[in-house]
Amino acid sequence: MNFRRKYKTLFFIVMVATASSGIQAQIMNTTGKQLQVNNSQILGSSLTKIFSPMGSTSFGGLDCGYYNAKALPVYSQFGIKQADCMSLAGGISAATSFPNATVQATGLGEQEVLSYGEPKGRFKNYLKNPYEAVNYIDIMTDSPTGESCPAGFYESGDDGYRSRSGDTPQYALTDEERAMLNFDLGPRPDWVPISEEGPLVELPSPKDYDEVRNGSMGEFEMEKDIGYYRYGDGDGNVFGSERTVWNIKAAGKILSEKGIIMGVGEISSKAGPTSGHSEHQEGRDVDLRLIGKTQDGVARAERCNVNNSGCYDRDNTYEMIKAFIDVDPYGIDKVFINDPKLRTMINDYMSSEYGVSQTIAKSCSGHDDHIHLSFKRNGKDPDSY
Amino acid sequence: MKTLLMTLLFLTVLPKSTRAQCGLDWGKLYFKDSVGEREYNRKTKKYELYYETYHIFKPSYPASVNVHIPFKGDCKGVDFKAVKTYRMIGKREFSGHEDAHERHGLTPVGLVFEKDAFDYADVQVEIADSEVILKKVKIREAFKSLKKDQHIWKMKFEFLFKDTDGIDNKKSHTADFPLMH
Repeated sequence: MNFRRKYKTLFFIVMVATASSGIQAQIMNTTGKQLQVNNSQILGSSLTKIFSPMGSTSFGGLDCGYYNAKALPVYSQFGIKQADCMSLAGGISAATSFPNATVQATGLGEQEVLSYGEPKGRFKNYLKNPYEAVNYIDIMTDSPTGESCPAGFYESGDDGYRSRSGDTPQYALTDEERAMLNFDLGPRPDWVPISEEGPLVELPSPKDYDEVRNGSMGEFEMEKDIGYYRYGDGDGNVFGSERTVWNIKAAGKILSEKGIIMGVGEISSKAGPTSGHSEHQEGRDVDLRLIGKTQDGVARAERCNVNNSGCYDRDNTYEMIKAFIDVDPYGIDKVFINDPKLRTMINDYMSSEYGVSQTIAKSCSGHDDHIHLSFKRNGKDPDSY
Repeated sequence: MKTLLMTLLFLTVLPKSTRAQCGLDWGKLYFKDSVGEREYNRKTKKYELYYETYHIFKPSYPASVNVHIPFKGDCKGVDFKAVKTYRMIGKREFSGHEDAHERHGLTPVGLVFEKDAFDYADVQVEIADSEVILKKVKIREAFKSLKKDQHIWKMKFEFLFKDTDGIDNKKSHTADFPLMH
């Protein structure tokens, strides 16, 4: 594990250094794994070019934030609730000029930005380094109000305006966590509707990893590192969409840093349909055990019941759901759990952190001893909001 | 002579009368997960397989179960010939409403059992000290031939066996299969 951690750190340094110098290119890390930091790959083919992440305090950035905030009421007609501006100055500008608008901005130095922007407006500087910024940025062009961001700060997409594209919305993860996920798991697969879904992929069990197979790591040790184990292997319903499996692995990695180990049950059969279920048909539903009380520094998923306070640990279980929300906040469709307090915590978190007012956590018969979590199946791309 | 005949008659009848009759308790029939789920044992700090028991299936049940039929007396001679199952198939939905999540346990009304039995291959019978166990009945296999929007709401298990007295017998047990999320 020291080997992996060492390269995580190295990778992080390389990312920051490269992005800071304005270079837009694919970076090869020392293990030879290709890491996608090329803007056109990340943002998709609809954007022909992307501006440099540098220049974050330019006047262009300031104007961009201003106009995006001003245009929000118009954007909302197209289902756009939030505009992004890759500029520290733009965020400040938007926050001070339009206190009710929400504009995400990026910059360097969170404390400085927050103290500057918060007194007047709702403004969060989520991202702390330029690399993070290029991962998700999307600037409106030729906005419906007729006002544009200054030329040169962005390049036009093909449809004049868009909700967003690229990798992910902002999430309440630290920079280090996000860098770790990108490094260990690669970029998160795009969301696709069921009709375009490829073959389902298996969520690996701890014992499927090479380190366990070749004996360099024990199954228990691996389980702590990946943050989950599978408990329903007998039925073989451990297949999910690429994005579902990525999300589970990502949540596991975040939880492993907190000493929490998830128990993952049924997802879907290899073909998709899972007998006896109304859902679990397309690899987008996951059954999860509740997290038990911490023992020896580890909180492990156990066969607990919400009514068994000797076993069930609500706070740790909340951490598990929070991890899923943070890695794919707008991709979560619903969470079934028969603990009203936990439901309130989950719904409040979705609302306060991501502005999702709909109730995603619900009660459901039979969900006293496990959680059913569903990712969105069809409809709108959850990255587009 | 009379004494000899009486003695022979006594010796013939006695074993049957003193031997405890086989009393299968069909009312106490239950199912047990035959595959098991991984469960962490806090005392031993190791994983073990846990086999859940079901008298009535809740909205989660395993792919394969053992059927346990408790008995009293001597049932070594009971000869189970076959287990036939009949499926009650209906639409796969929560009482007609997708969001009726609290209605897992409700079987739609007006459904009937299929006429033809669904046969499970290779069900093995073990007669233990106080139970007859029909091993590895892969209950979810019965779902695989269904159409996409169908669900088996009930299953009738019909047990065909020859009693200890050599008489053919038949008993049945119906189990509900609530629709799971």
